[in-house]
Amino acid sequence: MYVIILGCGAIGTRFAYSQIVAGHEVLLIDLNEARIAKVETSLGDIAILGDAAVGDTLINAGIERADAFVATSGNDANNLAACQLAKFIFNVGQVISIVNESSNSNLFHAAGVDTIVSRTDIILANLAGTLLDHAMAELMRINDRNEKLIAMKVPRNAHSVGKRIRDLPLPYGIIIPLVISRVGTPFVPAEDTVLMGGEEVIATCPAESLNELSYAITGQSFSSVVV
Amino acid sequence: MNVIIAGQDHLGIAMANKLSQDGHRVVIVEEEGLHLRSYTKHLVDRENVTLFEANPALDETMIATGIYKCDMFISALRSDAANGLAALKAKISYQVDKVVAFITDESLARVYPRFKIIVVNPHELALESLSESHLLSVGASDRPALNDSTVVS
Repeated sequence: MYVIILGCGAIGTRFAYSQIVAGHEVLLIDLNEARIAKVETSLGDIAILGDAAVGDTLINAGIERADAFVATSGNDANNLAACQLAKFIFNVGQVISIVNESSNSNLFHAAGVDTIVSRTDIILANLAGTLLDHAMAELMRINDRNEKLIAMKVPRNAHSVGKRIRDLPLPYGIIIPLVISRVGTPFVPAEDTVLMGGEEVIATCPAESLNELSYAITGQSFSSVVV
Repeated sequence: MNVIIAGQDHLGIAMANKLSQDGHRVVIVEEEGLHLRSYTKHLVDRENVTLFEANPALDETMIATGIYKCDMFISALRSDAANGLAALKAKISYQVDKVVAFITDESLARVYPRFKIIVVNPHELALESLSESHLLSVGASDRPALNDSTVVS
């Protein structure tokens, strides 16, 4: 797979590394020469200088044979323009963008970006998970469907503690693919897995059922637990 | 008509000048220094022109400048990408009727019309008016006109 990444910052560089390790071909684009030089000392000659929101830069990067385009820069305007070029002009199959200003998420979605990762939301989710025992945090939106991937800590005194997952009043359409134990070990739960206080539940949930799900696991409504 | 112009690009200011002369209500939004520019000074005293200093692409700015009552939003910021973001926001998030974006990159210029945004390329406009003025016509007669390639002389 050929992956083009906008932005040689911490996210872009580490993502590039992960893709190289996975055996993919990677090219990074950045406006800043110093950042390019830094990438080249660590990862080799895989970065070019240029503005990814300009068609010619993307053509030089070989966008016409790219399988995925990932925008990771700190500038939402550049991320969006580059993604739209990739998607609508060069027909790249998978277009992914980081959103720095979380209020831009819906716009990016409406403007044609396939997958959106909101930096602020993820940081907030992590903070919430660390600071609050019962916070429910939105990790990401799942594609076009109005579904969310969320994380929730089970409060130690919640009524869900000690109950099997199948006995919880979960709303329709919920999938719980992962539970993280109190000592931090992730495991795939079964229907008769018993939830314990302090565990973290990762679930996919239709947006309109967030409240119900939150109530079933934490005993509180979504709005009262979200940060 | 209520018009919001984002950015203090010369072309944006020229449009503000023309539109306000024609009696439209115009808000010019730019992050900073708007009042200080020589070419905006003559606009300050006009009753139907408001200068607003804030980041034009932020939702709170858009709302404060009256985006909900806006008939036309013109994005004349410094970069194509910034114009694209502001114009998409005006169109998609606030459903402004007429949205114009100044875009110089040819590829990007093909993206925005699919979102019903009117694209204006200031570089092309400048070149067109230059060639109309025949400043660039030196030696032009040696070159076949674009649509005349089949004509045998």
